[in-house]
Amino acid sequence: MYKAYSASVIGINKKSNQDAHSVYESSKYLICIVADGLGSSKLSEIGSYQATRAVRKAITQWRSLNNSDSNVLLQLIQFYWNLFINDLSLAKKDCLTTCLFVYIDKVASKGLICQLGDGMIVFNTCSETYITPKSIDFNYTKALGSAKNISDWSVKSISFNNQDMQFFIATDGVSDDITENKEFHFLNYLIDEMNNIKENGRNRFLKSILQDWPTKFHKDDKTICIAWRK
Amino acid sequence: MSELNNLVIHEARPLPVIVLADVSGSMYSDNNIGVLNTAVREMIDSLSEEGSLRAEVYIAVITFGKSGAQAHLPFSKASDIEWNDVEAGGVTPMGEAFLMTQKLIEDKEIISSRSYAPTIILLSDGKPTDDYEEPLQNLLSSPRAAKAFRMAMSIGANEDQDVLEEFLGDSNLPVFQANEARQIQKFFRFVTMSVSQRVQSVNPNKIENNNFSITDDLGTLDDLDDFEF
Repeated sequence: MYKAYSASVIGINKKSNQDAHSVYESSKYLICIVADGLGSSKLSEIGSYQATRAVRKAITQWRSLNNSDSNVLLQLIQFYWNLFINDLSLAKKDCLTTCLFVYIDKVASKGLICQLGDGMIVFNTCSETYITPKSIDFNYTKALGSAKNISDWSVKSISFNNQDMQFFIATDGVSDDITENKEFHFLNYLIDEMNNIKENGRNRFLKSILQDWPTKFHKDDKTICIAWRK
Repeated sequence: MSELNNLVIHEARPLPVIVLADVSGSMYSDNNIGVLNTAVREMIDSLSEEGSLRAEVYIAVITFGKSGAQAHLPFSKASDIEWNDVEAGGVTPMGEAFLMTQKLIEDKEIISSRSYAPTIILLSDGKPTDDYEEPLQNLLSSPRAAKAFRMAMSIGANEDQDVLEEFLGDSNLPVFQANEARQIQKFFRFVTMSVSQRVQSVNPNKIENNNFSITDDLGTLDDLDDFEF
């Protein structure tokens, strides 16, 4: 049984939330996506939303190819994102966005963790733990619209057989403030708390965590997606 | 929620400001050293009062003079600083100061990865007396320093500004010229305005120069009269 939830809050005094998030689950697979439009890019809220669309579209296409090469998937994502931005007659440079997602093949109990730009993905099973590499210092990030090649992505294949697994995906508005080496505690804390809440209140709980964020002067948009299998 | 407090950093993200100040003997002329002390103190006072903002300003002052390069003010939260005046004397070991700056910027224990890009300010009234070129190139090419915002001021009749221009690299700011001591104070007011603007910005990693029309008259601080506090 898979559970997946997500929430986002706009930064204080900001005009628009430049983050986007999406959870999609079918009988065969689960996709959790978080994207953070770059503050320096004037229409990046459109870029981040289109990133969530591009990932879903690309994964659907990729699955039909019966080709497990992650490079093909990433190229498809970049292709669809470019296409969607062009369809809107927008310039890519105005829509720059990070893109982080976890794809789970529920049938095969395996999947992919992919990240372009800032933010964090924390993944945990009984036998494996994984955190995506730290963002580049001083918040200069790679992004859809500016990434030059596939190697700009961080990619990790995962396989968890019949084990329990859990993960979260967060934009840098969240991940930059999580205490170093407490990332898995943070994941467990959220899951423990959410297990005590009725299902229909869990997204609201996540949102309340982001709204009451403890870091002083925090003003970033904040987005998190969390999922687990038990 | 109380457990969450133990998992999340409470402090605001740091915005580092690093001042490299020439304290060689020639800084005594025109009381430049006295004005420098006043200007830095004013900057610290102003930046420590920035409340309810996006970042917490941290300041370090590296001096270079008779005792070589020294961390006169270690990297500290602006609101915690009590400024002790610097004294002038000796020569101009600027290369040593570049080396010390590079070490500071690259030390992730001191300047964490969640910091915003630093602002580095260089003030000098003369040519370096040590071998500065390699340390400067190493500083400018280091991944973290390369992303820093850099500003430079030439004090007095300093005819050789090459090193200051080299320090600025592709920065769109000119080397500011201080022909009189009071212009040092104005320069620091400009620096303060610039840092304050970043602190209040939605994106502190982006510097907005368009509010400071200084590029029309390169290096002349008369343009900064509008920035009197």
